[in-house]
Amino acid sequence: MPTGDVTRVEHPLLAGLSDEHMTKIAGCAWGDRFEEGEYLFRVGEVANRCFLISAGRLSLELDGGERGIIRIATLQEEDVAGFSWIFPPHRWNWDGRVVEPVEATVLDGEALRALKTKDHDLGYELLLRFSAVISDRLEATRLQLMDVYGDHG
Amino acid sequence: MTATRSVYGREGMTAASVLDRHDFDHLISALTEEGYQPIGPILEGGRIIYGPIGSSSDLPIGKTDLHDGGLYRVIDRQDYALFGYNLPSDSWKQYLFPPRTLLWSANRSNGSFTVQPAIEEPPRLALIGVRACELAAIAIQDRVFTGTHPDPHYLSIRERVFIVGVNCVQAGGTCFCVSMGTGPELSDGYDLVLTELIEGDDHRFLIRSGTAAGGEVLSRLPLVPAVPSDCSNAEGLIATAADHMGRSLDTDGIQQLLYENPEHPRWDAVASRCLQCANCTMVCPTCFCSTTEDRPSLDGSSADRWRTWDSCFSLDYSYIHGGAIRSSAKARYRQWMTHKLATWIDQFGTSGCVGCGRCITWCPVGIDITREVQAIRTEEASHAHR
Amino acid sequence: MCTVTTAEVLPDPMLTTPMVVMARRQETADTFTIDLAPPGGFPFEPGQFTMLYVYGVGEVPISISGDPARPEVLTHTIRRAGKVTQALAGLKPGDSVGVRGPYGRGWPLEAARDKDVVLVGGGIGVAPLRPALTHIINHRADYRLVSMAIGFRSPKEMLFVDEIRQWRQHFDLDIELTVDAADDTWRGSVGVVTRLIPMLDAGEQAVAMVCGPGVMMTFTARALRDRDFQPENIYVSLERNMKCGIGLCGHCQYGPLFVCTDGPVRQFSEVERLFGIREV
Repeated sequence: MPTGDVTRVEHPLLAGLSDEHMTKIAGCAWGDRFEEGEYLFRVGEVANRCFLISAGRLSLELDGGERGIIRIATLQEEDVAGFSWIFPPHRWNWDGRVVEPVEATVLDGEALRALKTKDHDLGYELLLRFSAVISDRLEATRLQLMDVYGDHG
Repeated sequence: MTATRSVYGREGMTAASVLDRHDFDHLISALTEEGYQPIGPILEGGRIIYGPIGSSSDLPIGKTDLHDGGLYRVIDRQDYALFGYNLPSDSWKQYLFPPRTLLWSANRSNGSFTVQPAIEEPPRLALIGVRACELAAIAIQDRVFTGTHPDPHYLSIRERVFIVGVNCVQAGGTCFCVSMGTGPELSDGYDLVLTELIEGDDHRFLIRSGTAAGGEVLSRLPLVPAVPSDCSNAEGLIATAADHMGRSLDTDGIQQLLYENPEHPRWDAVASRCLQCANCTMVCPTCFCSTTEDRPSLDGSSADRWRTWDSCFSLDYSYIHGGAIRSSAKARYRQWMTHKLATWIDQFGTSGCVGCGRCITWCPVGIDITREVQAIRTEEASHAHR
Repeated sequence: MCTVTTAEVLPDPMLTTPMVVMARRQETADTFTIDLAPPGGFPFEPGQFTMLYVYGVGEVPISISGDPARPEVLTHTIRRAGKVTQALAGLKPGDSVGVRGPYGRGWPLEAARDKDVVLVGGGIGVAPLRPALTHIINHRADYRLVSMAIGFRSPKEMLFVDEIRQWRQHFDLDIELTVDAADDTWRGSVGVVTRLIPMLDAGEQAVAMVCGPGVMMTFTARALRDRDFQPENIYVSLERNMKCGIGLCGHCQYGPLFVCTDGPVRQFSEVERLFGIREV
């Protein structure tokens, strides 16, 4: 349930953004709160949201069939959930389930896409910042893949 | 005078004297009477090694040795020199730091066990024919084994040793002690030092003591005072040896050179030739790495713990659960050479190399540490110009 | 002649002292903790290790994982990995183990006084940090903000489960826990331990103590640097093959360092160069 409009988004993702760009982004953002057990998104659904988390914990997970639920990452304060809105076909690849009540600024992906097409400077800023998020996530995933605590004897 | 420079100010120092070749066995018997087991160069299996000696006839009389990368031959000399060879294949290390040492034994009792120290009367050894580079190596191992946790096994042997040094009057094909600042003349740390002088039938030794114990032995020998020409002859011969080093190693900035080039292509090149046989570490007089072995008796009632020489060229050497840290030949050669020439200085305030050249002579494929350093140095220079 | 000290007066540092196993706890499928009864006590500094000997089998270096304020108990947490740790795993209360030590340089608990402290432990690397955190808890007023990030492979490979729960109940400790992989019965964080580092409360002059597998320490140091930690304020615990524990056997060399006597704990600034070299 949206808790109202915002004029400024306080989140590391958007730190240092110009006032002009901030105003434009704030125009497609709102604050929201999600309770334990709620899904922010489900695999396969259209991805038209991005969540800039300021509190709580969100689990990225998948139903692994006979393996049960597989949890791949937990996102928390200062993390960003959702970059599928950037790339066609704009579908979520994971379930996002709330483990501890989440407070987040929600961005409207459709509106962001329109913004960045119209204003390439803003588009550049956004893609640069989301690339950093993706890069961090990739690095963390590689580390998990390495299974550093495993028994490699 | 070069020959006396080395002993100034030392207790028990004497002026140089002369011991005739025909009286040389007096030295061996004096040492034996003092309770020492004389160990010296002997000819065995076509090579000169160190072993127990009873008299000068056990020494490799009239023999010398040719050294080059992966090459060694004992050949005849034109004279009857006792110390006319360059360097035996094995070093004094095997006496001071034996290849195998029993550390202790445990006995099982009532579900627990008790530990008994290895009780063995340490030998009193007189090392006869210690070269300058070898005495430098012994001084290096002294530092290694007397650090924060002194090793009583080493010390119990070391502190009983009597050292008879022999100055080099010739240099072998793989010698580079001059580069490492360790020879060819002994400067310190000996009980007695000899220089062998042969002119036609005149065969004598210039001799002097470096310690009170050395002076004591000296006082029991039939000596004549040295004349100035004896000293200048010895000095000349030693200088000639210094001028005829078979190899040289440029140590200038060597730590920085090796620390800055851990990925130099030369490491791959040398690794492709290296057989990982560990010969270099076995013959090296300073290499000190060891491992431990546990030997339970067949019925399990006792278990011995041994220390044995080990080598950084073995795969097990760097093994931690999961695998060996230095799994490639390149990494192992790099570890050995970088330790020997660079990190050793950080650890012990001295290079780990004394320039004896054994690792070159006894490498089955003739890998030459001096050439490897030079290659990294020159190829590094050429990199810099790109 | 040799001018060194006389061997007769020296105790032989290679002699081991038998100690009786008082208790044994299974932590996970492959990891266990044993308490030994050291005759006369066994004072140690957090981060130090001992050489543990199993009769007739061999000797291994193991970090001490117990409480430094209780020298009457000598505790090690051990992962079954090789021949000797396998034999240690088979010990029962009443059996004996040979002990030498304590050896090595421990955690900089003096240098960290009056500063913020961040501990980061991964897997069996949590064990050597446990005495450090225990010391800090025992002397809580000596330190400012204290936090710890702990990572395990999975919930069932967690060590010190009850104790971590107790630590988390301290109002003046921030203990963050994560696992690399989990199912939906796990309510905590999932992800690598480095992801916890931005969340920890600590100022720029904070002291970090890091212990875990090499890869984990490399990435943790990087994450700490991203938080403007000074490289000289980051301490890591190194691991190498060791045969003697006292700087004589050569096995534990890491560049110029003998990990047994110069380490295992070193400033990251001192080893950063070596971290970048393969197979060093």
